[in-house]
Amino acid sequence: MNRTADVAALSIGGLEISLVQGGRPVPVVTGVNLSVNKKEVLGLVGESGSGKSLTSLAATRLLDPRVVRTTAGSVKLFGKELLTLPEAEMRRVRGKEIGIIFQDPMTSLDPAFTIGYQLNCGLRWHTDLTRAAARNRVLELLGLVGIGDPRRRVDQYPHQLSGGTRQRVMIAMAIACEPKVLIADEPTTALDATTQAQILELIASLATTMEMATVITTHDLGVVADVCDRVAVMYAGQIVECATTDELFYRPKHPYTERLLQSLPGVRAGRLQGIPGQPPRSGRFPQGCRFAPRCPYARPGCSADDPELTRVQTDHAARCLREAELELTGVGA
Amino acid sequence: MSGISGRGPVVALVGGATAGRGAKPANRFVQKAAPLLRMVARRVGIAVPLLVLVSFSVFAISSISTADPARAILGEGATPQSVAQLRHQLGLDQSFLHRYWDWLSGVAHGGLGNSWYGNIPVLTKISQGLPTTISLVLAAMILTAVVGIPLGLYAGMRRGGKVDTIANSLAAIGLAMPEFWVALVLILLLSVKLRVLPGTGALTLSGDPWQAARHLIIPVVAIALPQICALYRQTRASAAIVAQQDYVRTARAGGISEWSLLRTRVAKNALVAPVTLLGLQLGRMIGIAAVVESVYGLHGIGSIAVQAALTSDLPVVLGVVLVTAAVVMAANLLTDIATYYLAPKARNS
Ligand SMILES: Nc1ncnc2c1ncn2[C@@H]1O[C@H](COP(=O)(O)OP(=O)(O)OP(=O)(O)O)[C@@H](O)[C@H]1O
Ligand code: SF4
Ligand SMILES: [Mg+2]
Repeated sequence: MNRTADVAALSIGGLEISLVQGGRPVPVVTGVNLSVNKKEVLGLVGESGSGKSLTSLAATRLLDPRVVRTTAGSVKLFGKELLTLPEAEMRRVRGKEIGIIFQDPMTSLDPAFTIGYQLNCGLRWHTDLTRAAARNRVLELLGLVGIGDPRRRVDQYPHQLSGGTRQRVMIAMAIACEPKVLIADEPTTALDATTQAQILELIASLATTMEMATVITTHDLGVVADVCDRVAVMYAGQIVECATTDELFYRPKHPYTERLLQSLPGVRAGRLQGIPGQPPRSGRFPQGCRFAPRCPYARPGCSADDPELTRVQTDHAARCLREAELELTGVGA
Repeated sequence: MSGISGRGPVVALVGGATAGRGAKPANRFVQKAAPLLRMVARRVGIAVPLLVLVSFSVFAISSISTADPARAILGEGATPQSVAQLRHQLGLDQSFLHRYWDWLSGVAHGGLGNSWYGNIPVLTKISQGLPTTISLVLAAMILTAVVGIPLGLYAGMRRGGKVDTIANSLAAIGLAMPEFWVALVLILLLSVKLRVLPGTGALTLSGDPWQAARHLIIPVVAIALPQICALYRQTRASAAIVAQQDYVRTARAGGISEWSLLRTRVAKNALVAPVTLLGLQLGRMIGIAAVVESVYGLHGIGSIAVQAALTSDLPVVLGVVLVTAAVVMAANLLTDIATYYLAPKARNS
C-alpha cells in the first residue's frame, strides 16, 4: 500500500455521457469533474434527472451501451484509467476495487437466490477464500452491517427482509471484498426517515473504518451535511459547485446551491422554499448557463457564455459567471 | 447548521449479534422441505380422481360415438347371432355404468383388460409400444430443452444481436407451420426423397443401438422442431425481461462474468415460464408422436392408439389414454417442483 497521498482514489474528469438511441448521440451529462481521496466522503447532490446515477454507472462502466454511452472524459482509479481498460480487467475492478450500492434495495437484490449466495459471489470471484472461510466472512459481513441473527438471515431470500435490511445486505455486498472506493447511489431514497439516518451513519462509519474513498449520491442536501466531508452539486448534467461541506453550506458560490440551501427544512425559520421553475429536460440544455432560466441573479450575458467550473478558493469551485460579484447567503448566516 | 450530528459508532453497537439459534439439521431440512412435500402430496391426491374423470370421459365418448364394436370386429358379413354373441362376450349388452364399473375395478386390481382383437392383455400391448414412444418423446424433449433454452437465454440477454436476429426469424418460420405438417415434410424430404436417413420401417430397439438411433433421428427432429421454436421464443422473452432487472446490474457491479451471469442468475430467474411450457409440451409431443409413429411405421403407443381408435378397440384406447394422462400429470408435478426451486418467492402461497 504505497500509494501517494496526492493521487486521488477516484477521479473523474470531463465526463460526457450521451443517449445513443436512434440517430445522433444526445449528451445528458457533460463536464463532470470529481475527485475523492482515501478516507474521504464526497456527496454528489442534484435534483432527479441531473445525471447522478449515470455518473455512478459510467464510473464502473455499467451503462447499457445500446442506450447510453460515455462519449468523452476519463475515470481514474489511483491514476489508472478505467474507461479504456479491457472488459476482463474491468471485471476485476468491479466489486473488488470499487463497490457500488444501488438506489433501490427492493429491486437490486436477486429474488431467486439467498442473500448468503449473493454475498458469497463476490468473494468467490475476487478472493481465494475456501468455502468455509467465505461462509464465515459472509456471516461476519452481515454482522458488520448491523443485521441481527446472521445465521438465520444468511439462508433467507430478499423478499423475507425489510427494506432497511435489504439495503444493509446491499452495503455488505459492496464492501465484501474491501474495495478502495465505495459508490452509494441514493442509498436511502427508498427508505423511511429513521432507517435513512441509520443507513447513512452505517455507510459513513464503514467508510472511516475501512478507509475507503466514498461517493454518496443524493437529491437531499440535508443528507450530506451529516456525513460528507465534501459536496459536489450537480445541475442539468454538470457539476456547478464543489467544496468542503462547511464551506459549501456557509459560503455557497453558486445561485443554485444557495437555492438548495434555502429549501432545506429548518433553515429560514421553517419556511420551506422550493426552487421556482423546472430543470431543463435532459439533452435540451439552454445556451450559456443552464441555470439561467431559474436563476434570480441572471443577466442577459449569462445565456451567451458557457460558464466554466472555476476555482474560487482552495478546494472550492463554482460554475457561475457572476460568482465574484454576488454575495450569496449560506445557512446560519 | 441544522441537524448535523457526529458519525455514530453504529458498527460497534450492532456488530456482536452473531449468535444464532442452532436448530437440529434434520429438523431444519424437514422444515424447509415441508411446503414442497405438502404440494407433492396435494398433487398426487388430486391425480387419482382426475384420472378417473379422464377415463370416464373417454369411456362415455366412445360409447356414444362409435358404431357397434362387435359388428366392426366381425365385419359386415357377420350374422346377427354371432354379433349378439360377441356383444355378450364383450359385455356390451350390459349397461354403460356397469361396464365402466367393471373396467374401473379391473384397473384397481392392476389390469387394463384385454384387447378386443386377439385377446391380448392391454398392458402387454402398451408395454410393447412404450419403449419406442418413450425413446421418441424423451429424445425430443431433451433436444427441445437443450436447443431452445440456451439459445433463448443467450438471445434474450443480447437482444438485437446476431444470434437473436437469426434465431427470431427461424423461430417465426418454424411457428408459422403446422406441427404435423413439419413432421410429415421432414420425413418425406429426408428419408423418402433424399434418402439421407433410413426410411420408414420397423424399429427394433433391442438391435444395434446405432441403427436404432439412426431410425429415431428424423422422427425425433420432426417432433421437436416446432417445440424448439416455441420454447426458444418463451425463454428469450423471459430472459430479455430478466436482463433488464436491477439485480442483474447488481451482479455485474460485483464483477460477475457475462457467462456466469447467464448460467446462474439469468437462467434461474428466467426459467419458470419455459419450464412450465416444457411440461405442457410433453403432452403435445405425445400427440404428435402418434402421427409420426403412424407415418413412419414405428410401433409405439401412439400408433397403437390410432390403430385401436380406428378399430373401436375400446380397452386399448382407454389403456393408452390412462397411461398418457398419468405421464402428463407426472410431468406437471415435475414442473411444479422445478418452479418451487426456481421461484422462492412463490413458495409459501
Ligand atoms: N436508459 C435511459 N434511457 C433514456 N434516458 C435515460 C436513461 N438513463 C438515464 N436517462 C436520462 O438521463 C438523465 C439523467 O439520469 P440519471 O438517472 O443519471 O438521473 P439521477 O440524477 O440519478 O436522477 P434520480 O434522482 O431520478 O435517480 C435523466 O433525465 C434520464 O431521463
Ligand atoms: S451564470 Fe448567471 S444565470 Fe448562471 S448561475 Fe451565475 S448568475 Fe445565475
Ligand atoms: Mg438516480
